[in-house]
Amino acid sequence: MNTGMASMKLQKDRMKEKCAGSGEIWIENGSKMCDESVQKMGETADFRELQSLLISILGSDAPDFSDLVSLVKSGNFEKLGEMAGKQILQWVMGEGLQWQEMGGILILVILLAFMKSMGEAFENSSISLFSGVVIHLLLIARLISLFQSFQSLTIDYLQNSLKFLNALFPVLTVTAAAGGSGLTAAGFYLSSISVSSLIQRAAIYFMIPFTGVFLVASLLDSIMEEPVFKGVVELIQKAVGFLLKSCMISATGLQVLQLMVLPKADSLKKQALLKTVSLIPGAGKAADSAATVLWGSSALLKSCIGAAGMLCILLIVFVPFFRLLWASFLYHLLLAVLSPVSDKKICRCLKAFAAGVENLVKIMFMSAMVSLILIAAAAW
Amino acid sequence: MEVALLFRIAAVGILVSVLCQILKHSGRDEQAFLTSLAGLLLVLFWLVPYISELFQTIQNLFEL
Amino acid sequence: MIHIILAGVAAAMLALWVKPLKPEYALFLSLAAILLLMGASLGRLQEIIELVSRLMNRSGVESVYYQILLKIMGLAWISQLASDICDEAGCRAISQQISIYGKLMILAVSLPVINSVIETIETIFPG
Repeated sequence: MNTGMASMKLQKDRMKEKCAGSGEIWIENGSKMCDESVQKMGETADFRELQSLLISILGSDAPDFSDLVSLVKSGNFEKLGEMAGKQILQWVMGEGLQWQEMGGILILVILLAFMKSMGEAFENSSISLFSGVVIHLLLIARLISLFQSFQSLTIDYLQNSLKFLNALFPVLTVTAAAGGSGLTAAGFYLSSISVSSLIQRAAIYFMIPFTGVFLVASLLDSIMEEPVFKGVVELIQKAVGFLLKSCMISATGLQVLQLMVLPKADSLKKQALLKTVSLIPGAGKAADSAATVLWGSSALLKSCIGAAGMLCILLIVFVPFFRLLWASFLYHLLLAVLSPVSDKKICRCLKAFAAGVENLVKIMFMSAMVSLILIAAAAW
Repeated sequence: MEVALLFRIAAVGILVSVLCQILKHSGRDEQAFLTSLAGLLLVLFWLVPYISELFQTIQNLFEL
Repeated sequence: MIHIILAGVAAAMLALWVKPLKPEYALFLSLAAILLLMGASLGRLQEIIELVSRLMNRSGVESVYYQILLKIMGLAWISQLASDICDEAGCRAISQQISIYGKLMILAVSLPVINSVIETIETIFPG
């Protein structure tokens, strides 16, 4: 995102130079005209759909998208940081860090360890074994239902981010097309939408069920004396890791390819157009400057929208991502606290659960990275 | 349910065995038999209420 | 508390003493001692069980499962006890059968748990 901001500033300065340099009329009013045109463009750009989507995702106190864009444009980073910080604080206070749920699981684990040791007090080994298994199964059932809630959280996030991208890209395209880089914009739009929906589908129909299988297999493994499902578990780990990495690499690669080719085609077109326009006697020079201002300001706006879009993606991803990350951390902590005290099998159980949640975290992270890359490439 | 019950049972047992020996030596086997039976019944009479109370309590406690 | 333990030891001594004279009284003595011990432990057990049930409710486990756990404990205890008493009376066959019956009952009682675990696993697999 830093490069986004930097390029935006660069464009703004370049535009100011150009405005101030060419054309006698525009010399003093150059920078004022630039700002005004950007303002006007910003007003006409249609953020309504985007805004309603943001409200539906983030809740009623979602930041106003046009506010974000103007903040980014003015380079007011402290205010941005403030807004982001306010959102984060609101989440922490509101939904909380899930102490209660963790506390519930902690109590359950302690109780079950206690009852299990009581069950083992019976000399009759099969009774104690059996009661131990039943108690363990209770814990597993609880953990599985908890994991399902996490899974639905991830799926929600993936769908939300796709919706957001689908709403953001038309806005970017329109702004870019107004700035003359229509080919680039169209190319990016098509490829980005297809890449992101492909990745999202792969994630929802493929990777998330795999993580479910992984969790169940490793949980059941933890009951038995010997790890029966170890092969399945390791296979799934490797497969999911491979899929994640390949998604990210392919998305990045695709965008880099397009960045190399399409802007050149557009700038060529732009240069040709500019030269033609400036050949018109009389109004030629003014038209030349006007066109440059228009294109420059739309490029600026595009970058602003892109940066604001990246911020929004970060905001959307923040809540679920940190929730899962926090859960994973909590369960690792729980494991560390309980491992000297309780049964080895219960420890293996908790470890399997933490690993499963980590898988979900990785999927979310990959999806967020891909979204950021796509937006950054499109708004370059 | 007291500790005294244990000693009572032990006392009854010893008493009954002594009585049985004496009666057997005097040649009255039936009376010996009746004495031992009486002792048995007495002890059971003491124990059975406790047993039933115990099982009732267990049934309530564990909700079986 | 210590009195009860001592009473148990005393009962064992008395049983040892009585056994050559009248063997059945040894069994009665041990039975009485068992009753004494169990009575005492049930008192304490009630408090523990209440505490555990409160904690279970707070941790959100459904009370059905908790009752199943309790039943398993109770069945295990009783079947162990009965089997041991029969052993002491010299009837090993009865004691084995009681133990088998106890295990079957535990299995039967804990079926809902296994059922629900299988259902949960099924929901995690799509379709």
